[in-house]
Amino acid sequence: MSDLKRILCVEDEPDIQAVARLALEMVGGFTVKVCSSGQEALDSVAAFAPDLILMDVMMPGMDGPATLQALRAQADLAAIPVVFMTAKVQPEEVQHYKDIGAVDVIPKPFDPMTLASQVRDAWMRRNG
Amino acid sequence: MSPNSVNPAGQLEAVLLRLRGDFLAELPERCNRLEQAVLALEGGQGAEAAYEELFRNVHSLKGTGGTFGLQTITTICHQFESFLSDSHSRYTQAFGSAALAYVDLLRQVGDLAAATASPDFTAVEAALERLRTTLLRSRARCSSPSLRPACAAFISSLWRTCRCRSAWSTTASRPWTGSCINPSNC
Repeated sequence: MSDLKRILCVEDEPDIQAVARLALEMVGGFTVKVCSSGQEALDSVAAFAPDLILMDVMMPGMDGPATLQALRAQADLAAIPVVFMTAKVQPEEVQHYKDIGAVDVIPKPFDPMTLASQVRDAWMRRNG
Repeated sequence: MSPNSVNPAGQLEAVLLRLRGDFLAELPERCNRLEQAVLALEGGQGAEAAYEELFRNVHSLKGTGGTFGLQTITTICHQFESFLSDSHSRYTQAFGSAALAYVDLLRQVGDLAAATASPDFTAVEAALERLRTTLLRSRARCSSPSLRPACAAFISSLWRTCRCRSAWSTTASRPWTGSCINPSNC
């Protein structure tokens, strides 16, 4: 099992981008690239080669599920695990996100102090 | 060597505190934009774009507020978002009054959070609950389309904006207070 080192964070809200990046870099020690939209993520993912994608669900334009679908349609990107961040965390909503391919769902608003460990736990569960 | 230089969590906490301050400093301007979007809806021109702008900004505030530990902002925005969804982007006088009441509550949270390190949001949360109850009652009454104009007038008669920007009710009937919820500022 490879280590979790590189995370692509896809989030349209600048404040949350900043907090997520800081939390993942400073506490988790990860290398982080931030994208502001689903399309930007699709354009960047091959070059950045993330171990995991942490993605907002509700974004203007291409939302999280649509971006996930586009990733899964590309053979070389399909295996990258995607973790959603969303305020919609009713059990049936979480199950829906997992059914469409997300490996885990982190509730928003997230706690910056524990975001890195939540992401690492999701990674461990998938690779455990 | 400061404790933060060897403690990533401490470093993050310090940065978060600064970002929270920036967020609170920008909150009045963000509330202004919400108000402008509501007023644009009232004007009718570009209503669809204004509605989308309003929804996007409320959703954005919901996530950001909670991330900075301001859970009351998330709660207000969560209800505001549901209210916007339920309205199906139809503007009425009642819609405008209720939307502006939500914005006023967000302003109050911002003012309280900026004023003290341990703000007490009890009054704001009570006002939010009164607003939620009022809207639930109006929705029940609005089950028939023919009643909607009457409900619009009803809701509009309840909510006013005080000069301290608190949302308040003009009726003395329970559960409304009949006075500004923030009398110390009036």
